[in-house]
Amino acid sequence: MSTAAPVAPVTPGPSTAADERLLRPIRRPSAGTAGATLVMAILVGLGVWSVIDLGIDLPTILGSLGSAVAFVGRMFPLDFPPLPDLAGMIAETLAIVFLATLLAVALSVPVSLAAARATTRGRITRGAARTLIVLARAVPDLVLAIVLLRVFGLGPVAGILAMGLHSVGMIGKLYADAIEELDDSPRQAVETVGGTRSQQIWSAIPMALLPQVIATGLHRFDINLRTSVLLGYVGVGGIGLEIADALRSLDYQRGMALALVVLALCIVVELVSGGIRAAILPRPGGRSARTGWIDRLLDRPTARPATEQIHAPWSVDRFRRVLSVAVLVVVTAGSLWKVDLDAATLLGGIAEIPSTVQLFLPPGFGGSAGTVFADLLVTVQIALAATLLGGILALPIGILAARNVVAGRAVHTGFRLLIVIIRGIPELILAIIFVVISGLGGVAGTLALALGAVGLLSKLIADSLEETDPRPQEALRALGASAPQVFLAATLRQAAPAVVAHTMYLLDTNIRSATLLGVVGAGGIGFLLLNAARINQFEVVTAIVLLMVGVVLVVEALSMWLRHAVR
Amino acid sequence: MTSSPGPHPRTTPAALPADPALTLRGVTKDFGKGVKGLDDVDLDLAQGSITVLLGLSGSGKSTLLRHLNGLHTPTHGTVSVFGESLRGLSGPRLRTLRRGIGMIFQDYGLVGPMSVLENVCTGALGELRGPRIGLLMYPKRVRREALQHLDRVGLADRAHQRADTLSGGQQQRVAIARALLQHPRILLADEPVASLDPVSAAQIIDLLRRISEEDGLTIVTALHQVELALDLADRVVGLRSGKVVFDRQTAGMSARDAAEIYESVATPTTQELEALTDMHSAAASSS
Repeated sequence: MSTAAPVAPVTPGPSTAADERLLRPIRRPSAGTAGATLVMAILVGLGVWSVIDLGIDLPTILGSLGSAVAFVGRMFPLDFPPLPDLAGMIAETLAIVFLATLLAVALSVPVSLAAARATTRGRITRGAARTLIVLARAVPDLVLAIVLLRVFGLGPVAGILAMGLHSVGMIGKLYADAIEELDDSPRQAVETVGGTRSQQIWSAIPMALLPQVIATGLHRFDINLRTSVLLGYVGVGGIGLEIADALRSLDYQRGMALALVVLALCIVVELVSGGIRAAILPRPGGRSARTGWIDRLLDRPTARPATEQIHAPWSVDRFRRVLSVAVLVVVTAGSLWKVDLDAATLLGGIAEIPSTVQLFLPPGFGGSAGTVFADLLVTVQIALAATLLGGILALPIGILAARNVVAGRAVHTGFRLLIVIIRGIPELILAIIFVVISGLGGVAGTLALALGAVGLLSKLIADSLEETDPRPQEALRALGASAPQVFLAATLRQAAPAVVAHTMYLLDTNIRSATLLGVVGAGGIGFLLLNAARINQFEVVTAIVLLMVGVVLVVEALSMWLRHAVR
Repeated sequence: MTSSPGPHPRTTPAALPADPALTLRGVTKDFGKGVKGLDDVDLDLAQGSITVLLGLSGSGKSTLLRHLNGLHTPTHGTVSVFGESLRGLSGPRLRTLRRGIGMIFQDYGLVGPMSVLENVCTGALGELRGPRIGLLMYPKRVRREALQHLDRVGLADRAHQRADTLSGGQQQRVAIARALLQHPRILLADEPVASLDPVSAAQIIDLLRRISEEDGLTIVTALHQVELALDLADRVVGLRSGKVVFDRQTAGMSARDAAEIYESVATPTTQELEALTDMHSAAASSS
C-alpha cells in the first residue's frame, strides 16, 4: 500500500535514522528463517557424516574402477533375446505400466475432487481424501506389490494394482493442487445461473483440467515404467523379471542387453510423452483457429444456415479429439488382453484380501529388531549422502545449463543434453551396475542415487534460474555490474529459495528410492524387506513398512516446513 | 555512418551553455524484418536539463533510453556521453561508463527477496570488484552511504525489510536510492511511474526534480502522461515510430502547444490522418 505521506526533504547529511546499528543486517527474530538455516546446516552435517560413515571416498571410487573395467569385459558380447521374445517382453511391460497409470488416473480424479478446497463436500471429506493421498504416497509400490503378489499370485495383476494405488499419492496431489489453482469464475458463473453444486463442478472443472490430467498422467507413466523394472525383481512380469533372472544367474551379457533395452525404452517414452505434453498444454497467446486439409475433407459446406448448425463442424481439433479417444480405447483393450486380466481373477483375489491381511498382523520384528534398525539407519544415510553428493554435482551443471547465465549457446545446450542423458538412465539400472562394480552395500546405492539426483536436481536448478525475473538483472547490468556480480546478486539470490526447496524434495524422494534399491543389494532396509517376504515373515514386513512410513512422513513434514520457511 | 563528432563537439557553442551531456547523431536501430526501433535520431541533451521523451508504447522511447547506456547498440549512427562515443565500447570500459549513468525502470528492477538496503548497495557493484551476495559482503562505507541515500528518499526505516514487501512507489524510491549510490551525472528513467497510483507517481516526479536541482543531474525520462511530462520537463521530445516528431522547450509553452503535443502522442499510429483533422478541429474550436 502506498502512503500519502510526503517524501522526506531531500537533504544530504547526518540523519537520525542512519545510525550505525542499521548498517548490519538485522536478523529479525523470524524464528522460521533462523530455524531453517539451523536445520539446513544440520542436514548438511548429517550428509557429510553419512558419506564418511558409508565409506565413500576417492580411493574406494578409484579402486572400483578396476572392477568396472572387468565388469565391462563380462558384459560383452551383449546377448539380446530373439526379436519376438523381446517384443513380447516390451509389450507386457508397457501394458502393465499403461494399465497401472490408467487406474491411478481414474482413482485420482474423485480423490482429488474430494481433496481440493474448491470442490470438496466438507472438512471431513477433505481431510480423509488428503490422508488417503499421503498414505498412498508413503507406502512404496514395492511393498504393495509384495502384499498383492501374495493375493493374486505371481504375474502382472499385482504390479498393476500396486503401481496404480501408489501413484494416487502423486497424481491425486497434483490434480488437487491444479483444481485449487483453477480460475474460480467459471464455476461462480454456473452458480449464478442457478446450477447445483455438482453441475458447477461438472461444467466448470473437467475441460479446464483436462490438459493437466493428461500431462500428469504421462509424467507418471514415465516414472512407472522405471518402477516396473524393479517390480520385476519380486515377480511381476515384463522385462524387469527377465533382467532379475539373468542377473541372478550372473548372466551379465543378457542382463545388460536387457538393461540397455530398458534405457532405450525410457528415452523413447520420455520423448513421446514430452511431445504430447508440449502439444496439449496451453501455450501463451493461445492457439489460433487453423484450417487444414482435414477441415476441407471433413467439413463440407452445408446448405443449412449457420443458425441451424447445432453440431460442431469436423475440424482438425474435433478429428484429433475423436482419434485420441479411439486410440485410448484400443490401447486399453490391447493391454487388458496382453496381461490376461479378467474379472474372475480380480474378484477371486479381492475375496482373499482379508485372510492375507491377517498374515501381516500384528507387526513384529521376529527377533531381528537390531538388524532392522541398523539397516533403517543405513537407508537414511544413503539418502542423505546421495542428496549431498548429487547436490554438489548438480549445482555447477544446473548453472551451466541455464540459458540466462552462460552466454555461449553451445555450453548450455551441451549441458542440457547431458542432463537429459543422465535423467534417461533408470536409477535401478545404475544401482545394478554399481552393485556389480563396487559390491553389495551402501556405496552402490549412494552412488546410484547421487547420479540420479544429478539428473533431476540440475534440471530443476537450471529451470529455476531461467525462471528468475530478468528485470533486476538488467538493472544491475545498467549500473555497470559485471556478469558474475549480476549472477550472484540478482539471479542466484532470486533462485535460492527454489533451489533449497528442490533439494529438500530430492531428499524426500531419495528416502523412498533408498528403500527400494535395497532390493537389488544396494544397501539399506530394502534387502531385509524382500528377504522377510521370501521367508514368509510377514509380520516383519509390516513392522519395516510402518517404520519406513514413519521416516518418510517425518522427512516429508520437515521438507514441507523448510520449503515454506525459506521463501 | 554519419560523420562522427570529435571528442569536443563544440559545433553550436552559442546555443548550449556547455558540452551536451548526451549526443545522438543519425542513430538508427534496426530490429530486423524491417522493424525500426529508432529512425535517424539527432539529439543534443544539455547538462543539468530534464528531458522527457513522450510517445505511445512502441514509439521508441525505451529503445532510445537503452541506447544511452549501451544496453542497445545502434545499427547506424553514434551515441556519445560527455563527448565519448559508445561505439565499440565493451567489457570493463563499458561498465565504467555505465557506472556514471543511473537508470530506473517501470518495474523497479529490485531483487524481491533481498533486503532494501542490500538492493541499494548493489548500486556500488560497478566500483566494487568481484561478485557479492549478502549485506556483510559490502564495505561499511558503502552500507553507510546507501543508508544515507535511503534516508534521502524517506525510507531509512525500511532498510532491513524485504524489497518485495514495499509498495510500488516505495520500491521505485529504493531504485532511485540505488541509482544515487552510483554518483551518476546522468539519470535515465524508463516509464518510472507507469505502474504507480497518482499519489505515488507525483511523489516520484517530485523526487526526480529535486534530485536534478540539488545534484545537477541530467535526467532523461520516458513518460506517457503529458500532464506529468509538462510538469517535470525542461524539454519534451516526441517520438513516433522511432522518429522525433517534435522537440520543444517547455518554458513559455502555451496551452494550445500542450494540446497539440497531447494530440500528437495520444493518437494511434494507424489513424494519422484522422488524428490530424481532430487536432485541427480541436485547435479551431479552442481559438
